[in-house]
Amino acid sequence: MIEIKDVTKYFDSNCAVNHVTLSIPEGVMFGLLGTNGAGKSTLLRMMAGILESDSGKILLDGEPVYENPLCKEKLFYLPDVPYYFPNSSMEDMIRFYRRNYPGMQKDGVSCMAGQLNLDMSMPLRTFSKGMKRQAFLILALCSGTRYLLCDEVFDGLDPVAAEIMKGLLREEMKERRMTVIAASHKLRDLEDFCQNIGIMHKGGMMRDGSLKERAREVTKFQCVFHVQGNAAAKEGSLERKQFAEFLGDAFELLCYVREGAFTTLVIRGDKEGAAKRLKEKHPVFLGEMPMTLEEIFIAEIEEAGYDIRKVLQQMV
Amino acid sequence: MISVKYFSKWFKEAGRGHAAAVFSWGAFLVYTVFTLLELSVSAKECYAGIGNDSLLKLCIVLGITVAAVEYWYLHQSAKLDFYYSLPVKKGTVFWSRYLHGIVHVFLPLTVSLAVLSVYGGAKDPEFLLCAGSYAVRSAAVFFAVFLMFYHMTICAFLAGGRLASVFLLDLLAGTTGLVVVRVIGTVYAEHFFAAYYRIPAFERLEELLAPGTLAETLAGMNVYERQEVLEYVPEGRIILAAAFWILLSGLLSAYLQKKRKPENVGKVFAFPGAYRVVSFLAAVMIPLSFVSLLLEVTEIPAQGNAGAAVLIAVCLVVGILVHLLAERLDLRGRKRYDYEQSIEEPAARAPLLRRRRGMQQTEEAFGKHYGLFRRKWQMFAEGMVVCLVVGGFLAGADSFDHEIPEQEELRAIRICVNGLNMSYKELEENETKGDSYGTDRGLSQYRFTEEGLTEGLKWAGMLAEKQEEKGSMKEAQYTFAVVCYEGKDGTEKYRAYPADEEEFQAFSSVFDTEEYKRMAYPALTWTDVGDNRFTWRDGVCGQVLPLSKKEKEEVFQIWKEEMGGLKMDDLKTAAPEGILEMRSERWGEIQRLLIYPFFEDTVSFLKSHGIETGKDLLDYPVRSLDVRSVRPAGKNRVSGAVMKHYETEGEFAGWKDRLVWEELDWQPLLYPLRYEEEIEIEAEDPASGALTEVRCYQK
Repeated sequence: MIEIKDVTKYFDSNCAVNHVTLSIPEGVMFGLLGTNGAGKSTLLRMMAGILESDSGKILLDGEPVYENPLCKEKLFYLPDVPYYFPNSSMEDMIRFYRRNYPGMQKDGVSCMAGQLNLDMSMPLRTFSKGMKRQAFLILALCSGTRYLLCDEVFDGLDPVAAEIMKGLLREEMKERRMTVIAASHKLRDLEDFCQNIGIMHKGGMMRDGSLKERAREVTKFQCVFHVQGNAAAKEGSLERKQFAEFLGDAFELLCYVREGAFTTLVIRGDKEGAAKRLKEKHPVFLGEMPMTLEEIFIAEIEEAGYDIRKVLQQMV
Repeated sequence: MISVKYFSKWFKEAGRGHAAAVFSWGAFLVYTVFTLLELSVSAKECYAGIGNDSLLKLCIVLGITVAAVEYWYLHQSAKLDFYYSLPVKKGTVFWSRYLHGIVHVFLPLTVSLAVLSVYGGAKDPEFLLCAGSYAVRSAAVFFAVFLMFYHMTICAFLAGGRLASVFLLDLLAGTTGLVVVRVIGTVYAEHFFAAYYRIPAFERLEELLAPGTLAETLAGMNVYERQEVLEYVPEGRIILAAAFWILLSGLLSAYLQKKRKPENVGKVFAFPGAYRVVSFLAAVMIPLSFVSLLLEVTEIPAQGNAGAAVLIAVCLVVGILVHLLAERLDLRGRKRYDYEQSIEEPAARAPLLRRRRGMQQTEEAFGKHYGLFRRKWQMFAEGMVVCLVVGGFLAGADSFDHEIPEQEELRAIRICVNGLNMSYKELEENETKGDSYGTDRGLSQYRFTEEGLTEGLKWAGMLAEKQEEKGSMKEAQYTFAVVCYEGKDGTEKYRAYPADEEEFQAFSSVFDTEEYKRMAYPALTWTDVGDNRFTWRDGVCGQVLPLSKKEKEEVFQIWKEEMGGLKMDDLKTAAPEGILEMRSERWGEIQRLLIYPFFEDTVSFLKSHGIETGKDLLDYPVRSLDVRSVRPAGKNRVSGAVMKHYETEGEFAGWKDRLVWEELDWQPLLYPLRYEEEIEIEAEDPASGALTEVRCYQK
């Protein structure tokens, strides 16, 4: 289990990670989402023991990571641009990693490399960006560590390779109860892959948690109401306020968007109860819509007061 | 335990690129081959270790380059992340590379010295006796030189965030001592102290502060005699200084590697303290050096309150400008970044700044935090240091110029009077400041511990007292004297005093002492000269005297008595007529006995043995006489040289009894000749028939 307790990191006067608290249970795939400069790479580097936090603690199975080789043996860090020795091949890197990670499985690497048609004896410098990424993902998966920290994990992979890699990752996680923390600025890279996601913005952790749990609590409705007088011209905020008051304390209105005759509402609370309450307004049309991960987070985060659309525009 | 944690594994890892090893072993291979070739040609003139300038340079270069190769990773962000993400401590990576660098220099160094010592011993049996100890001492000395520069460069790599700043830091560490001593200390002393000649403390300070100078001394570069080089062991203070440099930079490296943050790669300096040190040094040393330059190229008088005030003002202005420039350079990038951040999202940034700086307004926070005058205390400290340095020289000038130690405090006094017992050329070449060969020769020759000490101290005291009236040495129209007071505690204080003609004449109290004569004319101390060879020389003639042992002893005794009775005033009356050269058959040493016309008994003895003393140069068969006079530029006149050539007896007649052989010009102040004309005659030695070109001056 990785515990991040009130961690802060400054680069001079710039706060890269701002009082982040997070708990990542064992055996899950955790996605760290954020725009460029949000602080996810910094957080990942702190989790890998590369950087020391200015305040707070990062514990891996209850032990601090920084300058703790015993603890760091349990994790493998894969940066966005993997480093390799000049002229070294995958075989050379296996030899190097075996000295660092005794659980490194050469056979496993050979097998996976074969699946992806990677020549292990070729210098890595001759590989394309995507091939390098595949090669290092294989090395990371076969390192035998319990934690894998990946930065921009599927960046540079074609959709087919990405799917294969996701499959390999899932398999490893299933077999070894491996914990994967993947940072990305692309929501779609993580959407179908991570059970838990944390969104970072300007150094802070805005939201984190299980997607399924969140999805169960939140419902999206699309409705068409009768328009009376100049009601359509009224300020949205007033209507939103009216709706919030109408729904009462039992339900929380996370999102209210009105486009023409259509009103979209995202409501946290009991799904049936919310639908029943809305019917009291006698809508012309009332339908429950499926929610994407993006919408759940938009709703959550807008509710927290952030202009998340601007953030997500960059993520998607 | 996991194998990777072991240091040895990471030591092996450090050698992955092999660059340091290849470079070091290759360089020593080349050095060994070239030195072997040199030894095979001239084993007695070549040093394999101590005394070898190439090896010194090689060790310095290796110290810098091996450190650069080993610690390049500190400036590669990706590599740093890669290493630090592995299950290893940062210290293990650092120290394994440190040891890797050391091993790959120490091993080839010792192998090379061992091979060269064996070969040198085979070529030179004298060297064979000390070959082993010489090789061990050389290995220790050159390894210490390597370590000094290795540690220094590692510190620079740790403290610098970019390669340019690493270079700057290394350069600063290597040259700060030199600038402090040579550019600031020595130049200020020359201009602030009227009696300055040299300050040995500065020379010792340079050895301690400048690693280059220290390395040269440590490696025996200032030792010239072969035997001394082969037996050379550096002085204790030099060993201590080297150990201090090695330890200080080593401990600093250890501290910095612990504190260095990987995120600081890419900044100008990895530590804010490094920037503070550099900016402080720049804001102190640049204005002080600028004033040195002003003193050298302008006529600003340093020895006066007005001049000193101008210099202090200049120093302060330049210091403030340098400080502000350093602040501007440091802040430019950060200010822009933070300002842009605040504009983009002021609501988010402002509370952060308020929290961190305790400011109520963002603008106010920027104004105070990023203002050029934000480090007022540092600026104040820089100004204080500058004022203290200039003020210190100014305040110390009086006591420096007029300090005369008591006789009881002195072990000896050394005096060199410019123009006494030296040629006109030496008189012209000697300077009132240090590094003048003639003056240094005089100082080592005239060292008084007996009656000369008493008289010399009185004379020097008189010069020091009168110096204040005369002002600086530039106003010394006549001549000057350099005095070295040797304290009983081993200290040496050098002073240069101007002397007018009267004061110069007053030196006769020292000149007339027996101690002075012994030093000025070392032949006076010789005994048993019966086996020596005596040759008479007057410029043309070089006649060996056919004297018996007894006659040699006799003429030498006569000369000693007359020389012993010589007074300084006597030297005003005539130039020597010739030189009686005395060559020791045993040692091959030569002493030249000056024969003055008033040494009547000596002259009489020589004449009675067939030597024509007092013979004019034109009494010999002369073929030609050339006169070259240099004419300086003047009003409506260009400068140039005028050459006159004479060939006939009639033309020679006008020069009769007016020419003095250049070698006999020994008292340019007491018996001055006309030095503006360079005269050369071509004369024939009747005894050998050889034609001789004789350079001379006109009386």
